[in-house]
Amino acid sequence: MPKKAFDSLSEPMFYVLMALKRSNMCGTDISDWIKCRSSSRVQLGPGTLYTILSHLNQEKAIEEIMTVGRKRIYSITPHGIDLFDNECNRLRACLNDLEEE
Amino acid sequence: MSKRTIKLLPYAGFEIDGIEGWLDDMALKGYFFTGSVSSFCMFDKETPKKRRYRIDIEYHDKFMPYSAKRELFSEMGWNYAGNMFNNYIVYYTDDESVTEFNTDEFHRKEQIKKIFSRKLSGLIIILVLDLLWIGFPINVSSLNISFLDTSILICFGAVNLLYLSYLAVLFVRLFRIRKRNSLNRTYHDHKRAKALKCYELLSISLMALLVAIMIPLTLNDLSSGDYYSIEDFNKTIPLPLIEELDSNINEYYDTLAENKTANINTHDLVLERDNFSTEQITDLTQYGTYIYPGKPNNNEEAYMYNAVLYEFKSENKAEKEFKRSIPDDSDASVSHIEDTKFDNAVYYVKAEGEGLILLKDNYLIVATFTDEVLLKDKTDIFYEYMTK
Repeated sequence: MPKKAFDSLSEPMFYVLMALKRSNMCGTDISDWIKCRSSSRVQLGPGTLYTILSHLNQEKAIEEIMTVGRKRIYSITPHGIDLFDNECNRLRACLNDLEEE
Repeated sequence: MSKRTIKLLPYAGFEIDGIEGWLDDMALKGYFFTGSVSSFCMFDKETPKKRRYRIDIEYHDKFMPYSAKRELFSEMGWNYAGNMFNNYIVYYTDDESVTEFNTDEFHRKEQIKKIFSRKLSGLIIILVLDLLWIGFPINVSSLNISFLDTSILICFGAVNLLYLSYLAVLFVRLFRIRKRNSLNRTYHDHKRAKALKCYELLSISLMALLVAIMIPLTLNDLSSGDYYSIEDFNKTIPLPLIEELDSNINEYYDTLAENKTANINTHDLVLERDNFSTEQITDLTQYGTYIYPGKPNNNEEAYMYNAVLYEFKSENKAEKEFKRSIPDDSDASVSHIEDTKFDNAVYYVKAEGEGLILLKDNYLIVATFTDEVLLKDKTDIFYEYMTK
């Protein structure tokens, strides 16, 4: 059965929501923050970043709130926060399962 | 100043990773992509250097204007190089430290899936059209079309086989891109891709040539049967004298009046009206057949053409039959024919010749009697002319 895009978040999606939960950011800042936060383990190329932002925007998990110069600033929506929290819970449950094993 | 060069893209449009790998390798040879028209890519020839090219597939998602999107990519180190096909945008970077364009296989696959669906439906349509095209000579043969001799059939089969095998290869390649890692550009052998491209061009060219040859042949045959071509008109053929025909025609009509019917082949000669000049009409009259392209104004005018009306009956396509109908008071008459098969009213005049002419829509149909006994000589002359 094909995997639905938002059954669980992909790692890059999770990090994008994490970045926007921290503060409103433009695309480049999101990419830089994720690279820094994950110690370069997770890097987002422009193609992937655009696809993820587009998907999250379509899902109304993020929204564009303003344009500063040529930069478009995005913010996370309440629905996005729910998605992020659900994913956190899922990951925690996974870790708990691992620890109990 | 850099020199511009055009090269043929060796990959199919859906093999994005192959195209990217090819563009990378072209840069190493000093060819830098600037744009493309269909499968022909334009390059600037400069000093070779390592450059990465990546393709972004643009859909009308309305998330971000194209200009803003390119701006974002540029900020992240990827510059716009040019367009390919309708919605492939090629970006490049010379900086090896810049993060790869697509870093997530899952999201890249989503784009690939969209291409896959489009290309698959396109390929299925082409396949169905080709199968219909293969069925074409079979249908035409059932109409006893003579042009399909053995050699043409062999060529037709061979070219279609070639084309079908090319389609099969495309199907295989299309399904392969779904399976493999789309971020990996190391699967491809450019030489093999070039050979396949030549194969594709050969099969498409031959198919186009075949279509160009067969369609006119078929149309020509369907419109004129086996007997006629414009070039067949030969003014040097000895003509039967109109007077001779006049002296015998009454006898001929009388016989028809007794039998009431006469079999006629209606497609012995079919001319397209556009191709039928006044001069050629004159030629026909020299053979004893007059054409009257409309209803005569009066009986006198009709008589002048020695007109006889035949009612066209088309219940049976294979044996078209003309029923003679002569009014009691005159053997010269013209009437209006109404037939469900002939939506437009058709008027025609049968004159001295042993044929009959219909003007209908864009066609001028000349029919000939084939089973006449009387006026046999004249009939033969005319028929010989018609079937020349």
